[in-house]
Amino acid sequence: MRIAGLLGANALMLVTGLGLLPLLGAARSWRALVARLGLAYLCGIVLAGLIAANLALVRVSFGWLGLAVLTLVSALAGVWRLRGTDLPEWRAPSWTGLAGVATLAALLVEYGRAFAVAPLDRYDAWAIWALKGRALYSFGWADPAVLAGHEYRFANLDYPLMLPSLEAVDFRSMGAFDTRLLHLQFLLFLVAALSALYALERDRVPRLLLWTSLVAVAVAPAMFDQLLTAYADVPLALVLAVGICAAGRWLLTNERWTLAVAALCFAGALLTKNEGLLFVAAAFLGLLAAAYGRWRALILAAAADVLLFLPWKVYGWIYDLHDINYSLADSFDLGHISGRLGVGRIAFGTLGEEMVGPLQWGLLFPLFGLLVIVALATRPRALALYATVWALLSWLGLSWIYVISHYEYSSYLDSTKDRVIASIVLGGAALTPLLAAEIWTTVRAPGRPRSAGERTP
Amino acid sequence: MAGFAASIAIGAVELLPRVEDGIARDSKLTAAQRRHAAGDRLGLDPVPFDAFRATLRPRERYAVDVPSGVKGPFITRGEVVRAYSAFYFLPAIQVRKAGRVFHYRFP
Repeated sequence: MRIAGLLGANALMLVTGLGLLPLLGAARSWRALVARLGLAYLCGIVLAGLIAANLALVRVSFGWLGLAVLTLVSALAGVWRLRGTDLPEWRAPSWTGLAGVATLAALLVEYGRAFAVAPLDRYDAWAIWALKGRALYSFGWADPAVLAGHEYRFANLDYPLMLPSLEAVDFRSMGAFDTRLLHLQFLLFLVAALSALYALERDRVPRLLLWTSLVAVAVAPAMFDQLLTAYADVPLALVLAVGICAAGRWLLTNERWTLAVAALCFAGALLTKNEGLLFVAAAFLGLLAAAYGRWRALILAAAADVLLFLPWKVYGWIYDLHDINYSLADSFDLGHISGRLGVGRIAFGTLGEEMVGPLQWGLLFPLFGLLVIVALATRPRALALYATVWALLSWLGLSWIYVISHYEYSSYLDSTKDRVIASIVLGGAALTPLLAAEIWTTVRAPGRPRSAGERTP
Repeated sequence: MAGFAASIAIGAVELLPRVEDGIARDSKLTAAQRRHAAGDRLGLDPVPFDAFRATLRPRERYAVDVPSGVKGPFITRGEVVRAYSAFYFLPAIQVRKAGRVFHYRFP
């Protein structure tokens, strides 16, 4: 009954997230909790992952017992926070909502059949992620004999541990290192992210547009292909996309809970993969550009992320873990850089082609780009400015990695180009419905101020 | 709306047949094929890996003796074998030198 163990662990993460939402301020009543229910699962996964990854650094194994305690504490704290508040009221679901849920459910069930039988055979999946997940499962913590071992340098030891820690939680819950059922956790990431995006946008975006956008994200060929590889790129992209969307909503509404959700997701992105640092830094710069008047809140959110990221960096410093693919310090090695500047232009163009290629991500990125341009030309400029700064800096930053790397650039680019762009495409796709709704509202009522948030700065 | 609908159409046409093909292919894998899927993809002989793994205890240190082999875009075939050994032999621990040595030769 390994599948029951896996699903049981995920059910506990869902309840953890339910308890967390009132603490983040996302639900101030039972009624609001029901309205924001969709956020709970992803928040629970990220919180469990962050805790498991950080505890692994100090010799604490996080399995059934840890997850149960976390769930209990989170649920009790949430219930305490919501005591005496408005109870939810029954509202009949709309036909659009029912059709959207049915479509996504049918698609995810079909995906589930594929994920439940997939072999773990892709290089990075076993050589990096599952290897670390198994080491955490077997040894109970980030034992440096493996996770900082000289013979394991090939496994990108400097990559952070949130995904392997979640894999280890799954292995403990299943009672076995099951490389087949492990794939289902990746599909559950998609379920969690889609429901989170729905919860974030449902009261800002027309239902039909929202459901269509969610189905378009789920059915993008690269979504299925890349999730099935059990690499970290799409989990990173999904967690980041929810953070990007929450931060976009914060720009529009200035609700504190949306920035709290964004900060949680950004911490998850930081602890999923090294590129997370680039995407999160770009997001904060975009937010600062679009809402510099709210810099205090942004500093607070960034500080929380740094605190959650710091233990992993300290572990890396103690055991002298370095990126085997590139070093940011090489940005200042003029001898190296001067001979490779042309690589930057090639990488920028190649990554751009990957993002707009319809057979990978459908039309998600072209739609995002189009709406950003329209929004910049019309009224909701704060959101468009944030989206532009974030996407461009992320794109340029990824391109720069190929410049500073010492690998032969064409091989490096060819082997990574299709997946590194996932975060930009999905982050953009998460913002697209918000952008469309803001443009539509502006076009219909051009003189009306959007909201308190939109008037800032 | 129309843009997202077009995106859905592209995804459905391009992806859904592939999903079915994948299910049909992968659901036929035996437990042994699944266990060796990564090694098979790399063209490695599973027999020596299974034989050595059967003798290892958790946390036991072992070393790998393998020729460098052909250089790929990033690492050599020998390094691929070391990496696969590191994964396949967990929870035994690979070190540079040890009393237990896994020998692998390319066919």
